[in-house]
Amino acid sequence: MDNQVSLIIVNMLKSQAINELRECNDYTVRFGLFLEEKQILELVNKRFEALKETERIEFSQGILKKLIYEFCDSPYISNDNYEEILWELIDGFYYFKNESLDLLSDDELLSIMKKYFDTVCEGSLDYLMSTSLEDLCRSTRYREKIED
Amino acid sequence: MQKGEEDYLITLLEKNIFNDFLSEKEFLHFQSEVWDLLAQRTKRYTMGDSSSIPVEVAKELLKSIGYCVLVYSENIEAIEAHIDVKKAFLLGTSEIERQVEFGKKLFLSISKKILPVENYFYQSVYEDIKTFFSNYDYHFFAHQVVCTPRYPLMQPIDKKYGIEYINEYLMKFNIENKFCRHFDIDAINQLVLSYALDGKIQYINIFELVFFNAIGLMLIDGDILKLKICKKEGKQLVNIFSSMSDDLCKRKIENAINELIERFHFNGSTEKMYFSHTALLLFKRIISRTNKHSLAGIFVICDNGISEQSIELTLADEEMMEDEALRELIDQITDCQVTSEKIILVKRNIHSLRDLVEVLNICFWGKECIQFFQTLETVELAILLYFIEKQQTTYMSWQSESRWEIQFKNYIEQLNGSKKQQIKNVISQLSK
Repeated sequence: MDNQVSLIIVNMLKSQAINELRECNDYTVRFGLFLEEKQILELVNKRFEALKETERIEFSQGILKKLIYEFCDSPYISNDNYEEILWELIDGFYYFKNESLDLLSDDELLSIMKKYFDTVCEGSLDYLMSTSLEDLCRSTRYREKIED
Repeated sequence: MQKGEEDYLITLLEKNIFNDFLSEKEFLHFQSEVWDLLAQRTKRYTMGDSSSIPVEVAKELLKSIGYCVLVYSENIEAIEAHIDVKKAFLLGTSEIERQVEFGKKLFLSISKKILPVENYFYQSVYEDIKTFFSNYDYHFFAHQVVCTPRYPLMQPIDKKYGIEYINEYLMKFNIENKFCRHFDIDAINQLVLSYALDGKIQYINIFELVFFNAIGLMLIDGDILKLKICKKEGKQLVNIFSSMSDDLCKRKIENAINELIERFHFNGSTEKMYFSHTALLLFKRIISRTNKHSLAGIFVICDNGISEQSIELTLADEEMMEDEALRELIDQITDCQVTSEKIILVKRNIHSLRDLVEVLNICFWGKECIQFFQTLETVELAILLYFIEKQQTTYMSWQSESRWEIQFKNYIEQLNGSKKQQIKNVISQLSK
């Protein structure tokens, strides 16, 4: 829906997201993690791109803040790989929301992603995305079919 | 933009069709109100558990909002409704709630008066409407018709959505039923069988058969209550129509329907309009025949009834299908999504007992068997029972893959005493 109001709303949501990420820095700095202004802008754009690719839509504050708060204390994230990991996690998060047919809430999915990332996957995003989460989503869908 | 187009709000958001009524600023305000409302509905839909939803779901939520606004704007100036979207949405939702209650009461009243017509699709109305009301979620998907009734009405419903569709369906079904209730149920069932041997599973509108034949009998001063137009009477009708002009034909039909309306004391204007419109459809069908010497397919011309003996012969004496043809048919039946489709394929293609048993062995499972058995005549039931008993006597360990014979025996067991006796009588004849 490409029109003037959509653009106004998207710009509004973007500036909201940018402010939120700036605020997140106040918390994450204690873990040695800090996003530069340029990184913040790119992450916010990345979020909208990921939404578009996965054909999802967000109206209120997005998932970025929750994602950062959940993962910032991971032993596998340092300031060197912070932005890169967040990029992958954003992509993965929306992808697996679709794969799980929205049967998992945001909090549930984030919590599971963090748990697997820190334990079984030992910080490997490839392993997280291609094995652990795929298995989880398959069993979530299967459980839904049984209940039908 | 026509009322009833379920994506009208989406189209409104994309372009300003109110150029003459709303300024650019007002239209931007309208759009942002709609987005805000959509955001609220999305939050409620996800119960705050998700910050995002699939675009397809968002579109459905938006269509639902649009539908609620449209339902409200029936009652006030449409433009005013579009400016205060939130108010229109809330009031529209209340109106839909009221219509749901109305629909449920109407359904309850109708369900007590469903006729024992022997037609699968007619009898499916109760389950389909019940499913609709069980699954209809007017809070988020008010525009959806979550279960479209399979039984076809004489006058289909166009450009209606959600509860409005179902309520209109119920009202029309009720009118059709009211008309049919003036006739003996055996006469109606005989008419269905005269229409087609497999009339029980034909996708037909019962009211159409009854109404058209009643009008036909009125025109030849026949006994309308028996609904039967024999061959001789059919020829009489042909003579009448082929000798008159289109105008006279229309007047005759209109007079006939007016007489019927008076005779059956139909006082409601909606009912009268429904019958008049149906009579008009009859007229159009007659004049569309370039050759009025054949009215086949318009009126049901009855033979002397179909004897159960002839059905028995059809089942036992026909040749078996070629192996490859039978395999293809079995594949087709297996691919069917619904039992009624399976039954139709069997009825149309299977003419020998051996082929029928082959199909039952592989293609019908559980409750599907019962649904199929319900479409069988007494003689057919007797033949199958005779077959099973013979198989189990000859081959002690015989059982089918689908265990349909167990379902069949249970089905026979729950039939009433008189039907069981009829089956016994047929079997005793077969045993001779």
